[in-house]
Amino acid sequence: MKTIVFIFLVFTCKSYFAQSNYEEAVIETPEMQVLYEGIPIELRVAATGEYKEVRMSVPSPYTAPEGSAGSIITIYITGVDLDGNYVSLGSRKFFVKKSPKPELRWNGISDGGKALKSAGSLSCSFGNNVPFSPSKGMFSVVNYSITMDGIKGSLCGSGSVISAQHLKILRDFKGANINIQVRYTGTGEGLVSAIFKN
Amino acid sequence: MKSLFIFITFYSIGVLYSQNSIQGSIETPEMQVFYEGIPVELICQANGNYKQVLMSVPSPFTAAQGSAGSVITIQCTGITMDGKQVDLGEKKFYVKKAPKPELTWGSNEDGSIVNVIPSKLSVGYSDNVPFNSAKAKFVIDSYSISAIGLEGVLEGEGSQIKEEHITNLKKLKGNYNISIQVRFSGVTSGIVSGLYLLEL
Repeated sequence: MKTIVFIFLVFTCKSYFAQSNYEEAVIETPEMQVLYEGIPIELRVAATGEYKEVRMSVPSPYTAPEGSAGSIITIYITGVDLDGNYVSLGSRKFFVKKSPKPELRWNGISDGGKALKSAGSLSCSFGNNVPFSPSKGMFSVVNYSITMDGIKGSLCGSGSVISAQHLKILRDFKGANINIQVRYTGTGEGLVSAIFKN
Repeated sequence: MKSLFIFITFYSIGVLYSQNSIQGSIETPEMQVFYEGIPVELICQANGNYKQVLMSVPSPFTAAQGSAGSVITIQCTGITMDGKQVDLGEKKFYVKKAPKPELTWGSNEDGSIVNVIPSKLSVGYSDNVPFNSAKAKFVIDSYSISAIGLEGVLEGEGSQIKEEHITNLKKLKGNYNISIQVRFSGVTSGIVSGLYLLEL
């Protein structure tokens, strides 16, 4: 009888332990396991079972280095159990991609909008359709090139502010469209264009 | 001795059982997003023995158009071996508008130098979206092309530049900045532009 009670207690304890684990599940989006070059991404590790500590092989937030686009980063999970032993808890693979292209705005107006010629502020930033906080992207405009329909030549300048001289030409322009292309740097680099209705 | 043997047997089963539950996962909390119109595969993994694990939405799941800005909560339910339903938790996903696609003229991306005038315009994602870029299909509804040396703006429907517009562009000898803007629809809709340096 004593044996049966003892076995029953052991079984109950193990069942209880397992039961607490039952109520846990992970919903994953396997193809969306991505990291972006130069973007710090918060990582959160979770494990079922009793551990003093659960560690990842990379720090959080983790920033994939420049030039790593196209590679796969494997992050290993390790648990330190109550006895201090290290237990491997598996790993997760993340695909590294180039950071998304920012959008160009002239005085806050985006591609396809009506030109606002009051000032010459050009800026590049992420829209709200990147899969992380858009504020993580920091860009600076290196130079600009502006062309206008029907006007020969282009207005080229450096920095993120259209020069006063160029702005005057733009204000006097009566044609249909103003086309601006900028070279940007920061969280990624490249060219981005926008066309504004005059 | 018999008791000890039985105890060891049960204990071993228990350890083995809990080994099954030793699993780790890594989440990127701020990247729990869905995009309007983009089907996203979902997997629900549960610890324990279940006949079935169900989610409150099908997989792949496509966030509906117009749902950007909302939060979708997906619930996970397990069906135990004796047929009981167990709540396995939930996860929230933020819905965003699909990213803006990029314009390609022939095979030339925005900012390219173009030596041969292509007739085909296309709009699509490059490999910097967080899903398989091939999942998104776009249609070009209309285009407008302008360049110094061209009279007016060349406007047309669809993704194929009209033959007469190609002829006009071919008349531009030397270096010209060509700006192209297209109106697109599909997974998302809008306007996208590209500026090209034409060197004929």
